[in-house]
Amino acid sequence: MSWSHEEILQTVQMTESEHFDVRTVTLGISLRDCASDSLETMKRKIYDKITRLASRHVQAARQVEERWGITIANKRVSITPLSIPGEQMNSAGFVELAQTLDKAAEECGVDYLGGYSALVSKGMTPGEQQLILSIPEALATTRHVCSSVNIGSSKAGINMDAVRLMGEIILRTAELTKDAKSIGCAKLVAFCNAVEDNPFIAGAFHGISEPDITLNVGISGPGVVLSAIREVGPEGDFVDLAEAIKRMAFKITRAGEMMGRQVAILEGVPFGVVDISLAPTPAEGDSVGAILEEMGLERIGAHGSTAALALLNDAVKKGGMMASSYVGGMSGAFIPVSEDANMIRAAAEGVLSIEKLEAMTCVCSVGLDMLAVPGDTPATTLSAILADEAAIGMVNNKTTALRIIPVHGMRVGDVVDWGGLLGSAPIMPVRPQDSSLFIRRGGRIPAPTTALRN
Amino acid sequence: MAISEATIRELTRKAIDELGPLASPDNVRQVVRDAIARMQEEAPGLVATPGFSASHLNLGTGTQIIVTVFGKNKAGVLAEVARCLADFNGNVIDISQKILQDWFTLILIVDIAQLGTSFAQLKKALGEVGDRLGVRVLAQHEDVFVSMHRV
Repeated sequence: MSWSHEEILQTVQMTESEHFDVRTVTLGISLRDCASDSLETMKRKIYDKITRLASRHVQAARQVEERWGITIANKRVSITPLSIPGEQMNSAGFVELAQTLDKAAEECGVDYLGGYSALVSKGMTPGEQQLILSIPEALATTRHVCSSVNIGSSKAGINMDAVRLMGEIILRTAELTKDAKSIGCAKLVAFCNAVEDNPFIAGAFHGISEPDITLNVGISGPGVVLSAIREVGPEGDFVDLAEAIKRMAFKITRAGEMMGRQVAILEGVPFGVVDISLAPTPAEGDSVGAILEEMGLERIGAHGSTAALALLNDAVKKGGMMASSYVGGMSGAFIPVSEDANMIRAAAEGVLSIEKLEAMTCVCSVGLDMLAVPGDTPATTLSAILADEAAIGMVNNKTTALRIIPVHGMRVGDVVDWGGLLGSAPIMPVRPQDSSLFIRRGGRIPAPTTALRN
Repeated sequence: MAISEATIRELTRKAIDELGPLASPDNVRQVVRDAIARMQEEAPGLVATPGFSASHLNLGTGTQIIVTVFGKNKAGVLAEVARCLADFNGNVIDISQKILQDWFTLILIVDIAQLGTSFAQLKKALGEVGDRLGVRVLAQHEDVFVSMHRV
């Protein structure tokens, strides 16, 4: 095969200076065969199965990185929502299982393990309720375990009992991890329309219709998309922007799938999906905010941001769908405030508000993400924010989520810095008006008419 | 009859164990493919399950790598890089160089089918050549370029 100079240099530039990497290879493992009424038996089965199947995961990914010269930033594991095999456990038992998962993750060398989860969009079983109640302690006593709860769907409506509970759970998690700037909440997501094959932490879990084991890959690449848009320049119109993004999305999806498939081969597991989400990091230029600003907005959060994000998100999908037959997971741009340098700046300047972020989540995945709010925010207000976000997902047949951190002891004007990939965030104001009567009503918001499609 | 996913996974694990530190996606794939072929000889009609068919294993069978060198132009860069490749039995099949003012980019397409050692070792040696000469030397498998630039 022959190559042009330009093709080769473009690829080298992408990997060397524009932060193109494969964001994560996530090994999904079913734990449905680990159910038992004995806590000790479950702990043993879970530890054995994860360490047996995931022991080669990190090594295989490193080998592929080395050979193909593209970094795989994270090597992770997702499991069946633990409430399913653990139905017979109480919350103290679930905490012990979380610690077992933590040990297994440590043993395999993966940085995060997702799936300390419950799917309760229509209602809760006793086991699911026990798992949710155990989340604060589980996250406070483990390092690698991530938790998610699906509280609504377009088919079932929104389980407002779960929404109310999650407000309290988020606040309690912030309190129990106050010595680490409430970091526990960064490992906790509440979803509407959660997807089963999402490779991205913290919301990853191995869905109930998945095979025993599978490997999903999440691509990245705000940096390379940014550079493609720079090349279009200020003269290009919207079709030029869309075309440039599509072309780049095609390339990074193809490279991501190729890398993922190589890892899957080396581990002897079937390949699942490529998740074509654009996931920013705090590194300069690796930013979704920067893309919107390059399109012509002074700051992300300015009027026009929702339209710009809609264009970006759609063009990424079109390019990615052409590149791979197995596109899945979230597949949409992420807008995690603390993990994106330009979003941090816009939030600190007061340009980016919760309300604007909420509007932006209507046109991209995944929701209000890595948002820091005052530590004294009432639980019912957190629940109300979650209910708003879930309503957007429910009505529009899309995934929405809330990963919010009420940082213990901090107020508007403070800045919290978690370091590393989690970045830093200014504490954003929430509306002081009371929503508690609405949240305390309980029950379920009925499914929208769009649920009836047959 | 179908060869189940679990069987193929088992075969892969065995192959990785047998190959030890020499395991690479290419040779693991080959060993697994051979094992499946043997099973099919013994029991005609045996097929691998669709989710994990043998055709799935055909990715990345190319043996070419692309070496790119960037830096300030100086005498001997091409010679040193070429010598390093020759030492490892890499076969240069295409070469192009562009110089813009004092800066140059050199691109070599190299066949590594007959490589004496592992690709990782060649990569390391090329990196050392680059360090010595004060230029950047990158080596990437051609699959990356195939996947990105060819539909």
